[in-house]
Amino acid sequence: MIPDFGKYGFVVWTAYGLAILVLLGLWLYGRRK
Amino acid sequence: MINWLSNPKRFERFAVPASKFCGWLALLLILPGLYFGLFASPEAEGFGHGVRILYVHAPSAWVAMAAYSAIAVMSFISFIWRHPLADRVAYNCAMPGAIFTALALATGSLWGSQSWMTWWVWDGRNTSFLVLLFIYLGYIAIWAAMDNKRLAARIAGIIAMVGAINLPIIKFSVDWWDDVLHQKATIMTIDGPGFAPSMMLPLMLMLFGFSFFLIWVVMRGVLRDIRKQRDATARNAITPAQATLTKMKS
Repeated sequence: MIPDFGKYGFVVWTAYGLAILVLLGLWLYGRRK
Repeated sequence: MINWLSNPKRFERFAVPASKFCGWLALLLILPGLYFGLFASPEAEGFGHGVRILYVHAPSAWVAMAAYSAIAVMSFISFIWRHPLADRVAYNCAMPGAIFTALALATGSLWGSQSWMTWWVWDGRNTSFLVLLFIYLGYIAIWAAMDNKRLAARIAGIIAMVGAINLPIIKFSVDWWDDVLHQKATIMTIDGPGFAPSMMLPLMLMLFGFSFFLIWVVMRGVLRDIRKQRDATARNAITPAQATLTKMKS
């Protein structure tokens, strides 16, 4: 179930989305040959 | 310890299992950190659900500064003892450090849009952190622009050491300038952390998770550089038969 963060929904999901993108991107960067 | 690790072979023997350990540990810390940050931690008084941004903002800012500190220390070691492995560590800290700096600025802006009612203010902390991003970009640009990597290491190292003056400015900006909107030191204070345990848990999980993740990225990068260097040396090596042939021709 997706939690409802009310008026903070956009900023919280954007922040976590960016963080997850950065982590995945750096994971790929770290695994490059 | 640094002296012991400065041998590439020994470093490789240490870093292969150590990077695996750090990678798995980072995953084991970040996944529950995301769970507690998004789902299991309560709202904060005055900030509502917006406080959840803090659990990615503060760790990314911490890791950005830790990576820069590592660059400055490694540049100093390289400058004094001229060891290429220290250069490789410094170089491999730069890209993740710059990306975490950008993430800290972006998440900070999102936080500010709700709690300060503005996306950006030119206060001491924001400005010094933006300067950190520019120093990172300059450092990366020098490495990328110069073909002579020894010279690039020297110049980038000097810039990194001079740029380290920005680290205490970032840390103490909240104390030096009264007009800043950032709160003063909250976690590392004499009276103990000013955070509720329910907020400290996701914050610490993410902070240590991001830190081990940074170590993983840096170690992988250094290992990759060592292997590339070894392959290049092996390719360029002349076999005894080739040496005899060259001698005969001349």
